[in-house]
Amino acid sequence: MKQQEPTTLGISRLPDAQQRQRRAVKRRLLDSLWYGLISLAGVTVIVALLAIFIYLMSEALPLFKPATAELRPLPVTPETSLAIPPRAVMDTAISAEVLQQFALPLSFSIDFQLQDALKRYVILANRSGEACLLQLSRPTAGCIQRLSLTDRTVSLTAITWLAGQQSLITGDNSGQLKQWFLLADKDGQVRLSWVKPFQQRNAAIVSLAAEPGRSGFAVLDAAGGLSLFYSTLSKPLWQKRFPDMAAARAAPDELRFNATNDQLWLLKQEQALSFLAVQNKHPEISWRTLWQKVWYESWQQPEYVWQSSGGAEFYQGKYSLVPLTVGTLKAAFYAMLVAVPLAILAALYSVCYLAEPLRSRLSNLIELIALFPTVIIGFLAAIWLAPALEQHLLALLLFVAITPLLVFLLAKYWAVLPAFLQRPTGSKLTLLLMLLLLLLSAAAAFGLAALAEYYFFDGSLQSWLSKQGIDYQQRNALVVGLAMGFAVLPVVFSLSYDALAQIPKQLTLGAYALGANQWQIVQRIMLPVAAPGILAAMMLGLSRAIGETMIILMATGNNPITNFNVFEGLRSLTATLAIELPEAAVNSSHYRVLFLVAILLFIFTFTCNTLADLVRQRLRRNLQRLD
Amino acid sequence: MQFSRFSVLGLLACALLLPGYVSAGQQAAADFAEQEYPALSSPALSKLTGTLSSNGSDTLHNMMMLWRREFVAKHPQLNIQIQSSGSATAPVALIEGTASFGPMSRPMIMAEQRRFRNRFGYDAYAVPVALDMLALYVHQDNPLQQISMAELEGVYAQNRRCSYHPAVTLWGDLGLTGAWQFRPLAVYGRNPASGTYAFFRQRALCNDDFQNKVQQLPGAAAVVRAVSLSVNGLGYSGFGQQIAGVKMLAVSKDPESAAILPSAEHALSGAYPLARLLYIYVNKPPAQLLPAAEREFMRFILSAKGQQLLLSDGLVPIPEELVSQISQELGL
Repeated sequence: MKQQEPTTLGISRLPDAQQRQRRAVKRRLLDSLWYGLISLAGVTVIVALLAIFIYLMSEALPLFKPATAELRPLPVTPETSLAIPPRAVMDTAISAEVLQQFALPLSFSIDFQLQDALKRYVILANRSGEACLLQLSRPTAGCIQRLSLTDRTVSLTAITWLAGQQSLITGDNSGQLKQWFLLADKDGQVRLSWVKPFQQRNAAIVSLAAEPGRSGFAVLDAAGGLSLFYSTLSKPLWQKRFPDMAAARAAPDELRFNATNDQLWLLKQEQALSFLAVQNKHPEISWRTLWQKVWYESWQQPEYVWQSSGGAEFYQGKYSLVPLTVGTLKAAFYAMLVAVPLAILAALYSVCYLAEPLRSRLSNLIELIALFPTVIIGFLAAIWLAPALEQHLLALLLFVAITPLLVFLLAKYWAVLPAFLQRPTGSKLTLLLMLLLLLLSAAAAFGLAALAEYYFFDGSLQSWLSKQGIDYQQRNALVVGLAMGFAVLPVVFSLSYDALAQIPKQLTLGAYALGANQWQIVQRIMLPVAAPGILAAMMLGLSRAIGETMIILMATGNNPITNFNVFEGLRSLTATLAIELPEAAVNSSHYRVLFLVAILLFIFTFTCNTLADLVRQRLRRNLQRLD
Repeated sequence: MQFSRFSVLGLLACALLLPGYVSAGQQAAADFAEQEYPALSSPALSKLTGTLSSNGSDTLHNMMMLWRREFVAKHPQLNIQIQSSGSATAPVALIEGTASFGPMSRPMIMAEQRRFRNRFGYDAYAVPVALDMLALYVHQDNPLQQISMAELEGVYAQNRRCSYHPAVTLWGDLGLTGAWQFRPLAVYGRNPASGTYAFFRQRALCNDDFQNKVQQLPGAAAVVRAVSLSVNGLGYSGFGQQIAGVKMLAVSKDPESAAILPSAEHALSGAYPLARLLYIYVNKPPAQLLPAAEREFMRFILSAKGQQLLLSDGLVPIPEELVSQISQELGL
């Protein structure tokens, strides 16, 4: 810095008071400007996070809005939008000629007859509750099943198919409602089977109406009670009593929905009495259907099912979040199983055993893995790893078992090794030795696997597994575990590495001075002190594994299975979002459930990250105390 | 230094691997005579400009690319964007107005049409553009030659309501012996957004649910590739998707009738049970013509040349009568 030139008067000019003040003002202004900008950025981040969460909530919450309906009088002048909806087409019966071909029991009077969706079975029923199942292709067989649809003491008053003609709802004069499916028994014989009751009504059922296009129905009872049900829930979605409707003069005898399910018409002898404006957008979603087993139409038993759309009319969307949550946790679990031991051992090795130039090079190399785009890892996993693993599964399992064994052997006979190999651990030579050991163990694993498959598993482990009842799918959780483990490894490694490297030198040096050996220091000092940091690294790795999309999407079959079998596939929350968001119609139940999936994912990763941070803060406090 | 060398390698790997996965890598040998798509009389139409976009069926993806390539060669100032993540995305895109073409491998269902009608006041207009056959693929080493529709149901369906065929889990259940007898099936299919999924579900499963173990792959080519990599694999995909390493199965309608391999002739006669029409949905108000560029593209697709291009992708041109009827309705 050059001194300011003296002026002609010979005195250096100091900044005058005014100038100084101006500068101070300027500085203060800049100061507060920066302060403002920084806090604005901080606040923006927090607000954005909150806004995302609120937006997700606002899209998902309408799912749980209870159904409502209100009675509206008929308009004086008929409007086109308010016409009586036509009778549903599925009520059409089979012709009398067809019926005559069947050898029916003589005493059987037919009050109701219904044909299934595939036009192969007909159900005949009468008011006393007797029913008879006919198979249209076998007229001579007569009733292939006779059963009672009521408890014999009460009489059947109403019966209807739900949309899609796969399940039957019956109502009797004691107010009971039951659901029936046509199911094949063990011998392949089709039977009308009782599935479940719905909550009993207070009076005799007068009429049932199925919602077109989805599996809901409305019930009218003799006491003027109206209720709306959905086939997967036994409790009504909405119910109300209209006592004056029970009065004889105004009593409706039929209910009918319009095509969009927002009007429920009350009719008496085909004449409209009034209608209900119904608000029931998402009847198929409730906490129960999302988290519990549900008995869907035509299924043999209740299950957790995710099959969101069928691209067909009358599709009953199946939205169980259980398979997706299990899939996400399963993938994360196996990925952690692969990544955590490798990453932590690698971090321990680099910090405690490796000498300096090698140490930083190796850790840089591992951290480089994080730069791999996950789409490439997923691609390799699907195209190369999955088929390779299918062929060499046994070899991999043996490799995992043999390697530690060989290490123990090597350790045992270390002293026998030539002196130049016994140099300090962490040299290039020991690294090479270990690589050699890995190669040896791989070769042994491959050789043994070929022998074992030939002698113990009839030539193929997969066939043997399938005989034991274990399904082996090519794109399974093991493939995901290995591929995603590879992706998570650098995260866990670098954080564990930092945690271990931060341990104050005086601790280890002190221990050395007291005569501790390397392993004692690792075991008694390094690990306990760094434990919170390592735990935090694991939590962050877990959160990365839960949020990972591309690897799971590509390396699995995306089949929504609810189990933890390592040899079967899975479908994760993330992959579901990636696959299904483009197809979901805006504001449909499917769309909103996907938002729910996003919230779930948000909660998972948020919890993991928060826990990791809390643990890390503890580590920092511990270290400060040590200093 | 080390760092940068590695990142360059990574980028190289990206550049090499990614396109191979994304596009099915199918090159069509398309050299067709010029006169089959007659030049336009109106000079105004010969310089179409702007951007058109298409969003929908993955089955039609290769075809849309082919049609675009040929069409854009004629109208270089026109840009056509193609996105193909499944038929179910087409109605969504048409309703939101983000696409002017909605290729679909199945007809729109009532709920989709209703949503469209609520928005525009009329139905979306379906233009049938091709005839497609779904083929069943197995690994090339698989000795199986044919499969019946009932057996397919046994393989794929959860409740098997169509034929009540017993569940098929091992290749032995399909009649194979020896090493294959106890080999389990690995079953592949499409994701629910796909029209192929919906069509297969309707035709082979009587609208039953798929089993949970059916692996869902996002893409027609991905299914075939998965089968080629898995010895015990079985998957359904378009006829045109065949690659080395897989074998097509002959399909029989019922146990009595003969099993037939998919072919153009059997698709047209209706003998092959898994044949279907492919559509392009457009937003055409009744009694109005489509905008010039869109109309011109449809005219090209339905022209003799556009239809001939189908053959190179394993699809079948639609019958003449259907073409002339549609052309009339569209005012081509």
